[in-house]
Amino acid sequence: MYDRILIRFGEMTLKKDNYKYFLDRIIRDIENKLIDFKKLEYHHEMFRFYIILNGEDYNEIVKRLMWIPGIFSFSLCVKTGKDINDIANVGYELLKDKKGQYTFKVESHRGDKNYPLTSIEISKKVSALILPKLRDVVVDVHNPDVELNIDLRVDGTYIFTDVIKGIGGYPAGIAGKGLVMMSGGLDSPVATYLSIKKGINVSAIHFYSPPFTSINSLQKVIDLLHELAKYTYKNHIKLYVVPFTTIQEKIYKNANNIYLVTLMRRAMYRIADKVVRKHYLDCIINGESVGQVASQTLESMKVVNEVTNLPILRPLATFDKEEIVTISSKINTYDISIRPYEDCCTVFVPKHPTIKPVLNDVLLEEDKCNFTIELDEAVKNITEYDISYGKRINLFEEENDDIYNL
Amino acid sequence: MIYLDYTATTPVDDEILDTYIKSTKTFFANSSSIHMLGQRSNHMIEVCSQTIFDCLDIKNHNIIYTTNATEANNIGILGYCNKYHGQGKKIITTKIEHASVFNVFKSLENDFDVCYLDINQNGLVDLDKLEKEMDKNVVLISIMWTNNIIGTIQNVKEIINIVKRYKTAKLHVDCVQGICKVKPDFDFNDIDMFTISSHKIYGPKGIAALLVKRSIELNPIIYGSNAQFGLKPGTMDVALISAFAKAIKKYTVLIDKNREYVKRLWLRLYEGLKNNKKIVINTPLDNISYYIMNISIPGVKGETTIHKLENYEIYISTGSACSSKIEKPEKTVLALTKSNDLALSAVRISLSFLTKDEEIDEFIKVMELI
Repeated sequence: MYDRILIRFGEMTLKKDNYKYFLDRIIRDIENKLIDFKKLEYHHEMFRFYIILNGEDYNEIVKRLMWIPGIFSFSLCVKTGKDINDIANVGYELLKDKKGQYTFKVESHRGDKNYPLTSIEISKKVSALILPKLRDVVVDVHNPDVELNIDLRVDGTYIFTDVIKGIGGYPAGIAGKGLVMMSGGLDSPVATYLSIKKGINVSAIHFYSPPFTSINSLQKVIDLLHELAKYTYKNHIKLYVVPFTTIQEKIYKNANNIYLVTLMRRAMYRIADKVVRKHYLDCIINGESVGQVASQTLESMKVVNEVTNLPILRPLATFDKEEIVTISSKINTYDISIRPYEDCCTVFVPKHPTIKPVLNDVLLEEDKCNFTIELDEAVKNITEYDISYGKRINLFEEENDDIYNL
Repeated sequence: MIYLDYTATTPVDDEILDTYIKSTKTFFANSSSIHMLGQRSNHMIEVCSQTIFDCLDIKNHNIIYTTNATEANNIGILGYCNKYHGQGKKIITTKIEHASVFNVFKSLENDFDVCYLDINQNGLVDLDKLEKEMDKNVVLISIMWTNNIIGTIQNVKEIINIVKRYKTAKLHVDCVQGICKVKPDFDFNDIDMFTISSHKIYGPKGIAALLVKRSIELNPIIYGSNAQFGLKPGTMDVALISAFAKAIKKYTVLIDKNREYVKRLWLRLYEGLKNNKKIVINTPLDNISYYIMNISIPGVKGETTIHKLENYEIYISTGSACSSKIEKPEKTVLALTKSNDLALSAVRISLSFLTKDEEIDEFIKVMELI
């Protein structure tokens, strides 16, 4: 039945001079994401973007449109002629499969000003033609369950009922580059998703502490990024894995126990700062949420933040855990995040870390550790992984072993 | 030799055996060990489970590997009834279930009000009766998909619809004889628990599985580690699981082709036997898998027929191999025909894509002779 998809862009339409740039980007993203549907055609006019299906299966396409930042909403539509009976027939076809009792209204828009009927007349006429054929359906013009939209234009009439919400935000990668700190927990993947959605081109950094953490925890991070990569412009996220064991051990041996987490976070930020500068990125992103754990009180953030002057984005700063869980379930990272493996933040945690660290004390403790050389070593020994959606890297699989294909 | 007992078990497919051998050499480490080798074994099991999920197109089930389907049915039915007996006291099954379901329900008669549904002359469960028996007190319904004795296919789609209307009632389906042989007209995602087995589809023996919706908790009936959700603790055999997954992957895509072939054989057999005056064909003509034909030779005990055929190197069964050593009327045939005589003299011929036309013809000829 449906022959095209109407796409609506969100916040980006508010841009004035940059609109075209934003638009080019999102259209290219749409085309890339749907590249394997060879028969699709794309049709663009002022503030309207259509994907013409030419017989392609729209279910998979709809699924993928949910991966594209910048799409505010979309609708499956049918294009027909301008004859009022044709319009009513299409309208009936779209409504007849809806189950149960519902109220509806017809909403018309007349772009073709030469058409003999006004938009109100079109709505009335179409309702009158459809209603007798539908059972259990009542008209409600104020608060309908279903709205039959008729957009009558010079070249034909576009008809649709449901408006499917996209993920919103800005076109992928348009806002600059960020380095997201990925532990493998629930928060960082959600922070990553929200950043990608807002148009940030993300890379990820993970602090890896073998033998205190296992290869499972690294696999977990890879799997999380694999799930998130589908939202990015090129379906790709770069992962920097930092060997962190030496630094953690040094802090553990030398500093006062209650500052372990504070010092560890400072070391992480320092390394992240170096990676950002080395790869010409613009900011650090993490999943910190105010008050969630000892290192995420405002006092702690202040003391930790002191080591870098890069912008630090904390998309989840004011989120409740429940809101975070809701998003992580939606983006399929929840099940991966709850895999029970230790990460760098959960080993070496003192029983009572300080929640109100004082900068001067922290600086004294940090002096005792003296890990300046180790920081540079860590950056030098980073292992890089290229995570592309659809090509899941598996650390447990021997390369080229076809047994996994069964 | 003419083997016509493929419902009892099938020979192992060479390709599947290769998978078994390769996997048993590669993944000898215990999948519960946390070192790299152990985790590799564990990962291979995950790959296998995902393969099975993909082949059956299921999204919200956990898989529990068991030694055989009997164990899987026990873990599912007892585990559920033990856990949720507070929610209701009634359970429903049919008179034609495999012993591994039927006898589990029998064992629950002290604690539950157990209802055994009849079948009609077409071998199908009376769904009106099911609807009448359903109420808020029902916790579990177990109805098989494809019957192992007479080959009828139950209307699982409609059963799902009936059960769905009752929130506390859950559905268990024994899919052992249907999987990779019959294309389902229902969605496995709509079934709360179901059982599948490897050796019926050219995989090795010793491996089967219970698939359980993630939202369902079961009480364990075997105690040990927390492996496999604590329901089937113990060391897992990665190689058997690999072979099982391979069998499902290989034979899922061949369902239509093989069934088409077997249907032709079945009709050939039917044509050849229908004029034999000694024989009554018990299997109905519609809603059947075509892998099974049940016949009776009134007055001759099933066992006698089996041994007579043995002399011609033809191998068939009286009924379910698991209960065929008991001298009792075959309960499924009895439920179908309501005749003690037919039920005592019933034998089952079961087919495969490996069966040849000549074997069918030879069988028909020998049946004239004996």
